[in-house]
Amino acid sequence: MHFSINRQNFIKSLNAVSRAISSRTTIPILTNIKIEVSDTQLTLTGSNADISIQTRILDSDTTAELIIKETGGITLPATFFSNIIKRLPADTFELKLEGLRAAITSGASSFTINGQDIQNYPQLPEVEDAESLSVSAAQLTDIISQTIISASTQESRPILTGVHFQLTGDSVKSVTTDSHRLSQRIVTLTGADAQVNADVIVPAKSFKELGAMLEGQDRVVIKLTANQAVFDLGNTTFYSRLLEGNYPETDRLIPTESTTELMINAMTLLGAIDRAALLSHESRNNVVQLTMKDNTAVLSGMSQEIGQVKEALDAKKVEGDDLEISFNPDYVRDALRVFHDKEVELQFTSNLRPFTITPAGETDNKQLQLITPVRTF
Amino acid sequence: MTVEFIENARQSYPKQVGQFLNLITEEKLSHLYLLVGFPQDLKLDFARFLAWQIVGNDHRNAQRIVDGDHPDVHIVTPMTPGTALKVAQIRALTPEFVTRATESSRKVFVLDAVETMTTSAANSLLKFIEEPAGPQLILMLTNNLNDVLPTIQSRAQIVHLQSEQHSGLPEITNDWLQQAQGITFKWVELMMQRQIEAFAYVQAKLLPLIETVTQQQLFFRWLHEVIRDMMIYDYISTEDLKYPKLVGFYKSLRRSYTIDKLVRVSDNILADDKLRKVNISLQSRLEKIVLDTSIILGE
Repeated sequence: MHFSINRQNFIKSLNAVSRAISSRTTIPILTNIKIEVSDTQLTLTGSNADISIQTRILDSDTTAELIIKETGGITLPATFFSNIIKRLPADTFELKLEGLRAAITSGASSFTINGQDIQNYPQLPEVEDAESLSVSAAQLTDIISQTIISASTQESRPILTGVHFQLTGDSVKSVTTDSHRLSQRIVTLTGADAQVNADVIVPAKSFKELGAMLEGQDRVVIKLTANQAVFDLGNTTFYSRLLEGNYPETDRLIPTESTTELMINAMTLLGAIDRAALLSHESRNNVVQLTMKDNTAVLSGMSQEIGQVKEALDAKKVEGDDLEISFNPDYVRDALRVFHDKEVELQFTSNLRPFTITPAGETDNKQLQLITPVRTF
Repeated sequence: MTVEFIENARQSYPKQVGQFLNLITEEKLSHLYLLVGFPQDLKLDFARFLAWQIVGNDHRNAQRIVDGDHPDVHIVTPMTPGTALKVAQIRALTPEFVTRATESSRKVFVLDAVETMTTSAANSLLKFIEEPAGPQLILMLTNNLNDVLPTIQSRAQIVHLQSEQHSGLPEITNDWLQQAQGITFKWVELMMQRQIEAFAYVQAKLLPLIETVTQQQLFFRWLHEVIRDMMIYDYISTEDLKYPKLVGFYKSLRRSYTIDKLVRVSDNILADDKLRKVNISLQSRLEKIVLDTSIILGE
């Protein structure tokens, strides 16, 4: 392997890949970065077993100034390598392999660092023939931010730490639940001709990382293979491994009818809940109470030691049976945040049954947050 | 470059290698095996060999298993020989137990020296042993079955691996083997004949020979084997005895003592496993064995 390249441009790719590399890993070779050169492109790969990021630099890219003199590949210690590259004196640098050693020269400076055989690096799945679905980056960001909140962080039920991600025909469905609350987002793709059916569980942590990489991207091609979920962002590809097991059936948890309805601006309710939570956080059971009676809604919270709070909600509509319901304000707050400044509809059946929050006027459960109340008697 | 573990496994455990290869081709492999036997490093090689068969037996995979670089093979050994498996090491495996394999169809976990696991470490494992999330193979290795938590034993298929090779450890020389085995047998003889000399023999002869942990393990293995032979020599054929040359000794014991007493002697010797765990010195334990044996036989 022998090539020369523009240093700044290379550093950008290096940074993208470094996101995946961790110094704490059970597989020693994953502290390395994989560098591979083919006839027309340079590929960098980093991985921490959970996620892998691969980025390509084409020799046709004029800003990269990539000149390939000899093909080949090696893995080099990631931290050392990126520190060296970032401190090199000249605008370009050259990397040449001598066996398992890489000679890096830039201006008057030259380094030789020991690497490991590329053969020892884990193999990323071949996805050329996998069925794929293309979504816009904005849609995917939306899906991620709206569902990631309900993923469990407890290791006691590992499967719930994942996002249930389904591709059916022309729609993408994403569901999370930690058994106290549930988030669901379905996006129907317009003009998509691909008919893909796939069903996987992606660790929520990987989804979060992916969300951070989507900024400034245009389209994302999703490919689901047996072992990995692959998100292709153009010159960068994001791989996440999958959780093993069957995700619980969540559709039947979503109530189909309601007896009490509350319509309100999400920000208004969020403000009221924030205030009520000030006291509930101080009490032993973190609970606030919503009372709907005679077409008015009142939110209250109390702490035995400190005192209590009561607030009449500025609701657009309160309909149906009278109801007194208690819930964890933090769950509702997380759920309301995803709706930004929109009108939302809260639908209740009884004070022991879960209630849903959806955008006002939507009945297809495409954006849905479900929360289980707390029993207080 | 040759990969040692393949040869080691084939040579040390030819019978078991054959059996497991059959199980793999017939797809009848269970998900949890407890490999019991001595010595430690050959057993580990056997586990590596099985892992290699499962993830694909090419040279690249073999090399990656040795280096610990294979994404689907996780081998956990105590940080330094002779210490315990740490809870943190088991916890680090948790994400591996719940995710899909990367390259192969099945993940392999090898846990060495499981008897050294603390109860909390073992408990955090139990969940994954009980309900494996997907296709997995867990191999647990131990030198002494009695030290393994019963909750683990009951869930595993137990495979006894016994190899006569002694893995070229520097302290286990042929000279040492011969001398130490002879002295061990002599000690058992003195003890079973209720000679008071057996008590002094511990300090004078045995202790200078048994210096390292490995030597101690070997000594106890011989001791257990002699006791086993003593109990069952007349029920099985001579070839199945570990030490057929001692049959005369076994017979003489049977003439002097009732079978009931011999059973109690054997229980008494096996009870030593418990004392070892609470850090009582080897000398005190061996002297206790001598005294207790003498009391039982004298009743």
